[in-house]
Amino acid sequence: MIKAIDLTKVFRTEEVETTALNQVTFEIKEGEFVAIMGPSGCGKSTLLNILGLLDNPSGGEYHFIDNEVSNYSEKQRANLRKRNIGFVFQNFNLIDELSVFENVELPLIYLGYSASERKKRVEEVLDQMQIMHRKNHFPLQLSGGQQQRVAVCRAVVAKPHIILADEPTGNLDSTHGDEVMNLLETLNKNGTTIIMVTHSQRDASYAQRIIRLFDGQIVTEDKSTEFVLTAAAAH
Amino acid sequence: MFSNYLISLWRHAKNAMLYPLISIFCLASGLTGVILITIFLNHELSYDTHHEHYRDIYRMDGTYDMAGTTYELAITPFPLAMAMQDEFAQVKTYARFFKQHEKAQVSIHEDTFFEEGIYLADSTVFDVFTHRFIHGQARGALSEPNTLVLTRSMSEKYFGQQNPVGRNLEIERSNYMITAVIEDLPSNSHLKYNALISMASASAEQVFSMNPDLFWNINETFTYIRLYPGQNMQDIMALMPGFLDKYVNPLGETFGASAEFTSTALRETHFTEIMMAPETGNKSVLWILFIVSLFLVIIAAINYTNLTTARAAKRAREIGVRKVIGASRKQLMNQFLSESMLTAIAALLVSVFCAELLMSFFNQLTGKEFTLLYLFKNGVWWQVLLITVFTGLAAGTYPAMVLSRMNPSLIIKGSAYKQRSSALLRKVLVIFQFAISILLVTATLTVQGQLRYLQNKQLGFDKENRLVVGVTGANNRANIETLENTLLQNPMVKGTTKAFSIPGQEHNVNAVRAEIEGEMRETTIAVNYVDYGFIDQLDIKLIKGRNFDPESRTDIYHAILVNESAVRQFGWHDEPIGKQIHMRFDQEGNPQAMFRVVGVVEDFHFLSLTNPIGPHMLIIPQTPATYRHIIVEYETGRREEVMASIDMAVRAFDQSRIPDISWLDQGFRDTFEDEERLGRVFSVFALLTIFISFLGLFGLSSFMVEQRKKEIGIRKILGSSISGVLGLLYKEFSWLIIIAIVLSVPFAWYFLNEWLNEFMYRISMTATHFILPAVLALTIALLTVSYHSIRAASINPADILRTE
Repeated sequence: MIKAIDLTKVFRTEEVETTALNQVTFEIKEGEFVAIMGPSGCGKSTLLNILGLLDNPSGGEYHFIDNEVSNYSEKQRANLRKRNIGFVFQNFNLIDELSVFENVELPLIYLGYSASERKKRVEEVLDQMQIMHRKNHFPLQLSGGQQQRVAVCRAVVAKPHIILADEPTGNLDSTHGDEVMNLLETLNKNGTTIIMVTHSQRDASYAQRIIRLFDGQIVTEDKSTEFVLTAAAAH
Repeated sequence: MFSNYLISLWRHAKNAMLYPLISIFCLASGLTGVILITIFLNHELSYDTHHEHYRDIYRMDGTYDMAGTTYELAITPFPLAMAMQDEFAQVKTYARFFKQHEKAQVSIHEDTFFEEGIYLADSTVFDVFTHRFIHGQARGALSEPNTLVLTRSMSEKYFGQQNPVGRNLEIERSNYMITAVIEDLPSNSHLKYNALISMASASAEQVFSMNPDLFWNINETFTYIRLYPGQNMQDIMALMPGFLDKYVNPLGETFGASAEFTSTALRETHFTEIMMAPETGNKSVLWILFIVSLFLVIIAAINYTNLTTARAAKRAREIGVRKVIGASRKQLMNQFLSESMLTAIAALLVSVFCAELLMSFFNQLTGKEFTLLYLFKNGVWWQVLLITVFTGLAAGTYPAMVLSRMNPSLIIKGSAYKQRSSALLRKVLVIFQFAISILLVTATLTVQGQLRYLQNKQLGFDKENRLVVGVTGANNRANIETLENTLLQNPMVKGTTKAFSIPGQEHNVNAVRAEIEGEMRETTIAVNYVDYGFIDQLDIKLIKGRNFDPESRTDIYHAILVNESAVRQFGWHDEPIGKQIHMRFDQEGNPQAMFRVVGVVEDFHFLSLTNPIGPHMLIIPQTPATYRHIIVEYETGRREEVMASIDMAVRAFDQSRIPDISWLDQGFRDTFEDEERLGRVFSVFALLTIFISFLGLFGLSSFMVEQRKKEIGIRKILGSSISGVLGLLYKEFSWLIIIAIVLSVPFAWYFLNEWLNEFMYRISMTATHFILPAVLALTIALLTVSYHSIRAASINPADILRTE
């Protein structure tokens, strides 16, 4: 489903050149749950941006559902993105001025769904995530956990093939964090590919595989169970 | 999709009402100006287009050259129209208008009124011009002698709602039968008439004769020619030299004069400012207003652009999220353009309301009588809507481009949105905005200064505390001294003098022969017939020779006083006294009147200030019946009182007429009515632009200060005082204004000098004209940013850094 070959990203300013990703190669198969880990500044977010088609790499190849997309224009990326990828962010990134319903509805608007179809699908997903009773509330009226649940609703409402989650529990307490991770796990079990950037060993334990980055390069690719054991021992 | 944009816009607005309100208010202020100015421009540019054949109608104008002096007049000789129809196949028909009285006395039963706009007109007038007939019909309406067509207002004034056709009305003591009533002329008619008398009522010798002499009897009639459709006036003009040779030149050559006829398309007549033309419009005023309205919308649009890009950071997350979940750049641009369009439409609704509120004030400024209904006529509404849409798009395009370009990956980690290029653009726009405001304030000060200069200019005679009694009717003129004596008995009257022409108004310019370098040479000189006390009464200074002597019988129609300009022009520097001027020549060229200079007076402005002072001579006429006016000097401070008592005295003198009394300085005041209006318009719009700029800067400074809060906090922690922080912020804004000042000065200097050059007598532009607006702009700008700056500088730095 996703294949990165020698993926490189270089940021240039007038005086400094920073290599954020340095010839990264890996593959993610459909239905996998992969965690990307590494210290701050290792290139996790840069990688997620490229994987999420928010940015193009400076070099290498990026195959996304059988398309080589590394040189796609912004318009082409936007088109591919809205049909195939759902995003979940650490800081939720809900639009404060829109209600829960309107936030979740937004991807369907850009996909051109009719109002009745939108209503049906939004209510369906809100119901599934048990947040239906809050549909007319605004993000600032919700708890962090509820906001992230809404963000997950928004990520899945268009039934994307992949969900990219960037520190999805970073702003949540452990109870709410677990809740969100369980949601992602359920989605994965139902066939959605999930790629998650995280600092948390606990969250990473939900993944089937972990890609570890350091200074823009992959240092290890492991099965997550080994880390779960380590994490469990640490607890 | 659109409803989602609306929801988003509305909720953003609700959360921070101040900024959309500022945007709407600024745009509304600009659009209010645009509505008013568009109404005015449309009105001015639509003059005479209501006539069905306006494209084929031309007014004939005349250029006359007499002894080296050229006169361009909107009036032409009576025979011209008939001769043109005879000579040129392109001419379908013509209409002439001839005004016998500036104000004609109209009587019905016991009531008498003075009416303006009563013309003699050819019976073909309705074939040339289009009128709606309320009673009667065009055919034959003005064919017979002593027939009369009234406009609706005039008909209603004298006959109420009755049909007056067949009834009589007395005008200047002659009876006319009313044959038709036409609708009032629209306000955009360059020639305004209230009643038309059949041309056949005048002497046939005068108006229907092709006598070549009549081609030189120039001060007569407005001539309008209607061509056949598709015919070209250029073709006629190409044949004009032959026409002149046949009709005009032979007689002209006998007294060394020449004439040419030119044409003015009917649509252009309103803007053709030549002598004797009916009230004209001023195209440069139109241009100025157009530019001012352009400035207004640009300034208002700049505010919108500035505030929206400044607020981009606040909307960064929304934009990022929309992009991440699939919004294309085009969709985001559409969203932001929809927002700017909606803001512009909201502003338009507010501005229509404001325009209605300001309409009467605007009418005072322009001297017109517009109502808001005019907005919905003649496509004006569409123009305003188009300007609104354009303004909305222009204001929204840049923010839409900037906002839709934002990189969504930046917001994933909540990176603050910062864009150097738009910050620079905002500064450039503020500079531009203030440059325009400073330009307009400088213009206001200059126009006002020039007007003050003209109003206070020493005219060379005393115009204060003097009023003018016009004496009409041969009988009254014959008894003018009786009236003068009556007026002199009034204890408030300090003195009187009589004259043919009044300083500040038109004077006859005569072709004469003057003694130049020892021989009698042809030249021209402005002539006025005055009485013995004229120069004393008006405090005109005698600088050489003597005044007229009442004891000397030989002074009558023989002695003359000339002005310094005559002395200069005729080369009489050594000894002007005793020099001769001959006037009025018979067929053989022998003078009928010979004058000798007895004194020289200092130059005084006998014409309005739009004219230079030329050679001028004062003559004692052979009979007092020559005088047309009595100038009355009264005691200071008794203006209204004296006016009332003189009015009574004049009424008693001739009970059949309404007194014609005016102030001596009226002519000078009327001359600069346009400029006074322009001055008032500038003041209002300069205030408006400053106000809009102020609002924009107020909104913008709140964001600029907000962005520097962290810096302010750190500086305060490191020991900076409140005044130190304020100095920092003031410096940033002061630079913008100083650059605006530097940019606006050369433009202001150039354009205002150009404008001043149109005046015969003008002020020089001084540093004050530039310093005052500069100080004003700087003060307003600093006061505006002070509000936010002082608040930011006073906050506890710990609070600032905690929230960063």
